[in-house]
Amino acid sequence: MEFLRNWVVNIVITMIFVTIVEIMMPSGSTRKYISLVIGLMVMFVIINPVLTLMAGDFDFGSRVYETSRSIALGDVNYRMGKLENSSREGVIKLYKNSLEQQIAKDIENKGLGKVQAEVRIEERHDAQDFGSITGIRVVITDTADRDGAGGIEKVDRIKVKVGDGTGQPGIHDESMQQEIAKYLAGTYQLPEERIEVVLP
Amino acid sequence: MEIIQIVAISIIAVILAVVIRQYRPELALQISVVTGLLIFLVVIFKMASVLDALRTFTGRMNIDTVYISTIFRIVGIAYIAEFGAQVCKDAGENSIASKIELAGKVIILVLAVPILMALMELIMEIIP
Repeated sequence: MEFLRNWVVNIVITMIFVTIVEIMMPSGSTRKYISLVIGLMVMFVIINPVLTLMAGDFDFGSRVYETSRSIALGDVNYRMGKLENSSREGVIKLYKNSLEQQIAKDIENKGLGKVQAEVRIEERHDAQDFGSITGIRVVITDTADRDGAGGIEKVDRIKVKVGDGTGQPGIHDESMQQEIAKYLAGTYQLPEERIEVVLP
Repeated sequence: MEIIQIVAISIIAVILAVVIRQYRPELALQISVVTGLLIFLVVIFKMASVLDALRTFTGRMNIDTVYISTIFRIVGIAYIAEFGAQVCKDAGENSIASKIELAGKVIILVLAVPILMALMELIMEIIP
């Protein structure tokens, strides 16, 4: 008899509670969502005695807590992953930039005017050689006059013949290209075929 | 009588806003926001006492308190989202208002889903 009394009291209190909450609800579009949760609560209160009879000691609060914790954990993990990725990308970018600047400076010090360097590195985090250089592309944008600095000969202006589209580089260009490639290959321990030197 | 205070504040704010809107529409919006906050502040303490009474009332029930606290939280989120959305609508920014409402709905669902899942588990458990 006691459990019947409890059941009825529960339902009565729930109904009063639900009525008050319905009065308090804001009138906008979120009303439906509050009603959903209230409906769940009413359902739970009504079937509660059946549940205790059949499922025994079911700790409802801890189940709810567990699910909400897993949702929060997923959220935190997602944010952490994003943060980690962005910081890793930043580090790779910084590394690449400083390498490029160093290469450009090295070649410029040889007296070759303005140099633009592009470095490709292994960016996959799980790769064994993560961070190693996979290729270098050097574009010499402007040949300056040199006064004996370095051992590279001055580059002559390339004359483009109309109608001859193959554009074979001159002998000077080729030797300079080779020299730069050799120098970079030696400095960064890279096979020479992975280095591309583009002259103006 | 708080209601007289609230209505007086509101009427003064409305008159001010209507007068100012012709010259400086951006200030009229600020007046409406501040008035809304003032009314909210006056009422929120009353609301807190009502909620306390409700809490002691539902304490006599022998069901989990997780329901009651979740419902209170959801009502609070709904109120705050509604307040923000109304301010945005007043300023003519309907799209931002709908985004606020969307955010409120998502957060409410995040709170509601664990209850739903637990109830599902419970029902699955009692079905042989």
